[in-house]
Amino acid sequence: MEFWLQIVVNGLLLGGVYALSALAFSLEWGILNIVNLAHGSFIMLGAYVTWMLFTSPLHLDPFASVPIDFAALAGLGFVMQRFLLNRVMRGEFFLTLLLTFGIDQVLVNVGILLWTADPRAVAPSYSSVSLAVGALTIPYTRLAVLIVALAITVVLARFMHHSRLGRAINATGMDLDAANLMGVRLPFVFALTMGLGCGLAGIAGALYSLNFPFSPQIGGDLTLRAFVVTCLGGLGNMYGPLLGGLALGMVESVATVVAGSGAVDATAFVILVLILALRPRGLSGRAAA
Amino acid sequence: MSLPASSQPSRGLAPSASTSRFRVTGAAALRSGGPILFAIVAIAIPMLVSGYALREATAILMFMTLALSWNLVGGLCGYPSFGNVAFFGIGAYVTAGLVANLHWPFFPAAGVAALSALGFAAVIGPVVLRLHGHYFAIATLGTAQALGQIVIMVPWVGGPNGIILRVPYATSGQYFYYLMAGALGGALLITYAILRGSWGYACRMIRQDEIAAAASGVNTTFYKTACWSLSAFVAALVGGVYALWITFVNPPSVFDPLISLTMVVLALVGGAGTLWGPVLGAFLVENIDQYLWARLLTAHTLFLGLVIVVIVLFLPRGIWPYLTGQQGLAWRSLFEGTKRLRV
Repeated sequence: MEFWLQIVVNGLLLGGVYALSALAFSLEWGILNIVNLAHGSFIMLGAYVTWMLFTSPLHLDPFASVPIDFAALAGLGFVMQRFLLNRVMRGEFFLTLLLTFGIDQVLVNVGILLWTADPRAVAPSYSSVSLAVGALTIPYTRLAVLIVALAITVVLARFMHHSRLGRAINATGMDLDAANLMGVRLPFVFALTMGLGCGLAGIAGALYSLNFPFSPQIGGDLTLRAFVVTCLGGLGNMYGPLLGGLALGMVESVATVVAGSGAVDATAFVILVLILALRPRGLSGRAAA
Repeated sequence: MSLPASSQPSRGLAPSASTSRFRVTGAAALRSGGPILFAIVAIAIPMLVSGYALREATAILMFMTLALSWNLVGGLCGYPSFGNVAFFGIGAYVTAGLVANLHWPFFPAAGVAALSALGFAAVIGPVVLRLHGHYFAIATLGTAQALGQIVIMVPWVGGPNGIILRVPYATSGQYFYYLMAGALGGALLITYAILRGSWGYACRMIRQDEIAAAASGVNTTFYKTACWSLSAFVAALVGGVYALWITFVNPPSVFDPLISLTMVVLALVGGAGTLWGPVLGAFLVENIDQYLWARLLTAHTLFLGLVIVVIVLFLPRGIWPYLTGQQGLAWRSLFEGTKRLRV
């Protein structure tokens, strides 16, 4: 019994990582109708920013680097959307898909040139300390990810529904031309949304680096996971990524025990294909245009 | 939706009176002379070069055929598959398994491999092709990934270790070159046959407006599944030749998602939906890529990424339509394409 409880807790903690990573992806897809294939590489960049600050003479704590990650990647995302993606926003969807894939390739290779392909890790003194609740062990860094994922989800939902800017972003996602006629400056709002998304990916990267080893090539897997999570949770609902992430975390955690660690990836993809075949628009939420 | 961006949409597209006759002549020469020249050069290459250069030429033919395979479903029907490597992988694995484990000769093995990929595509086609846009793209990507993971768990084909093939008869570089050339010829014939008949019109209708196509009596499910299955057939054939040529297959190498994406890029660079576009795209990109690969090993896909960015921004319809005058050769038409799409 305790064994299975631990498995469930592990699943929830893993789900926190997935939820945090999928938040930005889901935001970009829901509002901009862009499936950002460079998403995972932005998480990778976030991890490396944290790593550089941590290994520099400053020896900055990974948690203290979170705002720097957010600012740096939000800036990069803003520029990417403003000057590249905005140029093809009215084209067929696979133009944006391909463009983000191209950007992803550039980011991965720049990462390899800058930091080599060797795996790195960020290991502060508290990285291997766990909280013990009865027989359960909960690593603090994983717990931090789950809490941050919850907090960001709530803040983001409040922001999107109750602030002027958030409503402008939401309106753009609902109807581009109507929003434009209401005075929303599309190029700016698009760039801002992508900046917000990439900034969130940066936060995810900072926390990822605390929990997993990383190399410039981790992006592809993260992007695919984010996609599965978004399909599970559904678009158009700010709490979707959180639910989807926790669900995928649980499933993978159980699958590791039942079918061995080799089957984990296959499970994720089989779930994905099944959802798409049975519920082509995700488990909940609306369809993307 | 009406766009204020392009106030003079026809400027770069309509041929101006002074140059149109010259351009049409050039295009006609390109259409009839180009393929003949291409065939002569393709057949002559093994007599001119050998060794490493011949291997490179074989690889380029392989990517031409793969680009044509993607083009059948992605270009003709407008269903951008991001998982065509699944069929390549099936082709390579079935061929390798039959040749290595059951000691079949190559040709029947490759034939069975191509037919099994065709069957697999025909079975999953009606399900996957129901999806549109991003969902279709990622469902295909997911299918290919899942297949690669499942193959790892099959001991008959070596699991994660893959299969090492021993070719039982003497083979030369020329042999594989001509095998690839044969596959390329087959892919060109299939594409040509589809494009010139009513089948081609059905595909174009599906690409432009599937609901309208279905409403006017086109059996859309049949046509897109048929194209998707033929695409699988061609990719699996290439996979089979690849397995025999490289003599080693394992899941990471023949289910590499980068192969799917390369197919998409090559077809788009040349011009998706055309007969010669994918061939041209593969020729240009793969030549430059191999040149860079020899000099910049660690980061040669950086170039692929940059090519994609430039092509998407400036030539969203590919190179071939510009060469043949369907788009107008003016510089302005390059930027006309991007203006139309921006917000």
